[in-house]
Amino acid sequence: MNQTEYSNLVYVAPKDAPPSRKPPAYTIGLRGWLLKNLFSTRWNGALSLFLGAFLVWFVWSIGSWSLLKAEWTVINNNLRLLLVGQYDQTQLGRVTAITLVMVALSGLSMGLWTRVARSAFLGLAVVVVLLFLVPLFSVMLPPPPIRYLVSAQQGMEPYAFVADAGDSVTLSFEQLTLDAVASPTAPFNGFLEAKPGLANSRTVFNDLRTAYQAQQLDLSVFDLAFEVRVVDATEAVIETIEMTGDTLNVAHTVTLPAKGWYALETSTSNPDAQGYVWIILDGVETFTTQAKVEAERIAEYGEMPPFICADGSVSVDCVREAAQRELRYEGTRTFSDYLTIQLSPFFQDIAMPTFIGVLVAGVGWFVGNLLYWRTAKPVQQLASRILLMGWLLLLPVSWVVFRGIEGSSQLAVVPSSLWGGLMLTLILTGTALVLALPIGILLALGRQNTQLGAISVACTIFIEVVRGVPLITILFFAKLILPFFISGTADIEQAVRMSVGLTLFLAAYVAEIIRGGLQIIPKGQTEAAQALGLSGGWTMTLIIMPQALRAVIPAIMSQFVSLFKDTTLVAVVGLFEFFGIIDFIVNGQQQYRPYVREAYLFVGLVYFIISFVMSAISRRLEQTGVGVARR
Amino acid sequence: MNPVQSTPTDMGDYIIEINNVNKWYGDFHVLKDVNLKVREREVVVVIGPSGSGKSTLIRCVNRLEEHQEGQIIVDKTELTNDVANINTIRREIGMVFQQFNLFPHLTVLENITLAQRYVRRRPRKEAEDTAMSLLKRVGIPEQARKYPGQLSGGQQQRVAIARALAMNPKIMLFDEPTSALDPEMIKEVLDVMKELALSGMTMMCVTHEMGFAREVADRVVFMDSGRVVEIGTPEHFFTDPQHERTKLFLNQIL
Repeated sequence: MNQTEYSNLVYVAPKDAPPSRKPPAYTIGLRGWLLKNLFSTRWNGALSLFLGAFLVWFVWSIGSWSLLKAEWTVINNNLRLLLVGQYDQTQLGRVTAITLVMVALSGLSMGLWTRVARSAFLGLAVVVVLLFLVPLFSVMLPPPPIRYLVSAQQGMEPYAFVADAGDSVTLSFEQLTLDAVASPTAPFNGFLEAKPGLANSRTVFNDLRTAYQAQQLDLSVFDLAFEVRVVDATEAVIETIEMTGDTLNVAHTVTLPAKGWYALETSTSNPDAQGYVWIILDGVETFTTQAKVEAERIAEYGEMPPFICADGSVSVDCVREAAQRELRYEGTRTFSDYLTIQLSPFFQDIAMPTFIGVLVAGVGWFVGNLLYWRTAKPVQQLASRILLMGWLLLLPVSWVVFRGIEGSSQLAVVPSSLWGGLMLTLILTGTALVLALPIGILLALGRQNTQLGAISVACTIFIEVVRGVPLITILFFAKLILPFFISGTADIEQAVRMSVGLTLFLAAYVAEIIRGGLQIIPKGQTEAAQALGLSGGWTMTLIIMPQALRAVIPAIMSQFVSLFKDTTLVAVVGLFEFFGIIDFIVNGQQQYRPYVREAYLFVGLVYFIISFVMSAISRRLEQTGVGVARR
Repeated sequence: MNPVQSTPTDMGDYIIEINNVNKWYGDFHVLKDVNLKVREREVVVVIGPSGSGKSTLIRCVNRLEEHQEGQIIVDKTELTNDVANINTIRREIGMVFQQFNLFPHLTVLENITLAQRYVRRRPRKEAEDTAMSLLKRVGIPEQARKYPGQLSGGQQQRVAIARALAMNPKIMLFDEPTSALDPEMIKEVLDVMKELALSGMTMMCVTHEMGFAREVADRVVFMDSGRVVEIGTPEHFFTDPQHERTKLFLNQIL
């Protein structure tokens, strides 16, 4: 055929249609991906570099601080306060029971409703195994050396440690250099208490730095004359090392004769001596204020004996005090130190409860999966309904179980003013979430249905007033003003009043969201339902509301997350929920005051994790959840 | 001017009576003195240009729209504001919409069983059996477990017809049932409607499908600017229209 001419028939497709094929594989590669997503234009490239650098810096800062400098003992020692506040310690079994039920329900829900994949669950299991391994790692690591900064003029309080027979401890000495003080950014490496009576090492550090900046610190004059003694529990001297400038940087190994307590003491013979020196103590276990570790140590080596303090008295107090100041460790340590000192005891504490929790959730998940895959639809629906009932019942049951029953010996009353920590946060949030949805639906319907007249106006006023007022005002209202208006409300427990305040606050917002949802449902849906003879009530409950709710799931869930975080505001009315309890911990116990940062970071992390899970549930609901209009 | 009224004789009693109905949207006079009577088993096709009030008229019959003057009597019950009365009438009238208006959050089967169960109070099993037999009748029993969004337009409209039929209505109203469909799908819906007409269903149908009107209708009603201009049997209407407006309209579209 001549290529330049068309025949009458221009084109006819072959008789057999080509078979459908898979799309070509996505083979863009790392370089291609980078080019496409991060460096598509010069400007984007610059932006990527800038933001990338910022991100690295940010993560590095937070990460290195948390892993190398932060002192997480505050969390470990106050775990009970963080979780349940001042809840009656003899009654903690109730909280455990409710928690286990909740975990079991979560597991069932994961299996039956969201069908969390096996891989996700295996991932969780691996995490748990790792929790068990962390303490194991730390046992394999040698204990980190202890560094003490000692002023040539004052010496130090005795440092107590334990050892077994034949253990050896290595002592070495290092001059404090100007560099460490002079550099404004370098952490004061391994800094410990130098002067008794000072608030903490940061003060010492700042003192030194101020002196340096005022050019009054002269570390070049280095004139030492004091002795370092290793003594046993009876103050018998095992070894004495005379410190002069010449003995610096020479390691001394001391072998300890018997199992028991020992201490390191210093005393100065020359009040005119100048300079600071590091005493580095290697081979002994770091002093710890981890309550559990300390208890174990006492069980094995007995109570700590008194030692001679810097002021000459014989006491255990100065040793403890010095040790607690040592806790306020400001320096940098290695990751292995971190594992040994921080992570290991923490995971030892939480590993067992976590393991049990995962086990219970796992069983629930398995049962949920069985129900989903192996049973007929009616059984599934029944199980689903029972599960939902279980969740709804969990709330009133928790309130009753936590609170106790008047006059009951099994469930003695624990007034809600003693509730606190994560438990209070969760029960306040849970109550608000569960109750706000039906209330919000009613409010939305009431407001939308102008035929209701006064009820409609009342709904509108309620919604607008509550939305127009800060949450904290509502909470104060519930706490202080309500008893003036309605007699008898003063007797209602604080937590209940806060719960009502939070619920109504959330309900007003949910109502507006739902009203928005109702408005986007096309009029044809109502008409179709009406044309079938469905009454107004059925039309709303079967046709309109399910679609409206589904449309606003993301908005409602974000409101839920928002309320979860807003529960922190009950702290201002004197309830110590998860956030407020930090205040209680650090102000109620002097020794934890320097660790506010660690405590807030931990609490922030937990808030983030829970919020993240809520968002994940929201996304899941959007994809596969209730009342889905599949397209 | 009196519309030409030819009355088929082999039909039953009047089941829809529309007497001197007037309706306004705000100030806009959308139905003007409309008179129309439909007998049992009769198929009436309403045609006319856009905005002529034909959809409004058909929606007045099951009171999705309210008329302000005149009288509409359906199955011997006058339509008033009495709610119980309206719902009783509505369950006897099936309606099919231009936009299908299936319930997107329910499966096809649930769409068809919902009203049976909550309005007719039939047990689930019976409702599902009815639904399946109707789905077979409209030719898509295999789609029962799917959601409306997974079906083509033609299939959705057939589900909508099945949904309306499930209530065993005495009357079926069709409001431009094929206007939102691809040309290839119009036929499958019209076939179902033809089959329904042949089975003796009373039907009132707004459509632009002249072929359907010619083939299936007992009477064709032509409306313009809110009034009935001409009523006639299809052969009379299409071959010998009397009114100037009708002639103009037919000239435009045929």
